[in-house]
Amino acid sequence: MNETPTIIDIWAPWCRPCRAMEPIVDGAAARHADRVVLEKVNADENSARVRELRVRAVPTLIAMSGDRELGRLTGAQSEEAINDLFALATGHRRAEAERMSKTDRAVRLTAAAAVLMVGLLSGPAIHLLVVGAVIGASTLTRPGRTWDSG
Amino acid sequence: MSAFTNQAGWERIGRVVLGAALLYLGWGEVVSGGLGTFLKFFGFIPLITGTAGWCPIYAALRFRTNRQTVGV
Repeated sequence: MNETPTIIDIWAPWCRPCRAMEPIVDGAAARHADRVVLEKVNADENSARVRELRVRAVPTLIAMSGDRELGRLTGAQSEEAINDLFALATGHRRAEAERMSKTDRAVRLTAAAAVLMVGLLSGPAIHLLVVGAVIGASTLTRPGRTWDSG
Repeated sequence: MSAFTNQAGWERIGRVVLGAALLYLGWGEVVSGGLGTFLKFFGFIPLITGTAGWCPIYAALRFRTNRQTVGV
């Protein structure tokens, strides 16, 4: 079995987001050329392959390792998301993917601070202080992004 | 289900701030009576959905304010 990671790019000629993403995908593929294979699938000409991959929309990018699906992006994507998918395919991003994103951490810290402040201003209300502490503690543990296998 | 968040960062912050404000109005007894009691619990809804980044109503309507979809 070929275990070289593959990024499958399902596109269509009429798809504007596909064309917009093409240089980004090609650039990422060039940077990872020694570790990742890029397979482009024209959805209009390869309906059997599209069904096999359970693709419901274009553009779709799928990271595969052998027969195992590592992750999938559906719809127009940012350059960061595309690079993340390539990094995931090469295995370099798995540890980072399991860490919390900056946005997630900022939101949780804001929530924790807000609830703690409300708890202090409301009596203090012990249960709100507990809720705030739990939210704050969650920034230490929970991943911010989930990559599922297929 | 793997693309777990369906809210943009700005919306999440907004929900958290709104939730905290509602909780303050309720628990701080700025608003009293039935409305105050309502706010004591209703405030948790935007707070929790904002913290999680996932709104069940958005999910039911297949709507999202963040653009990125990750997962299978």
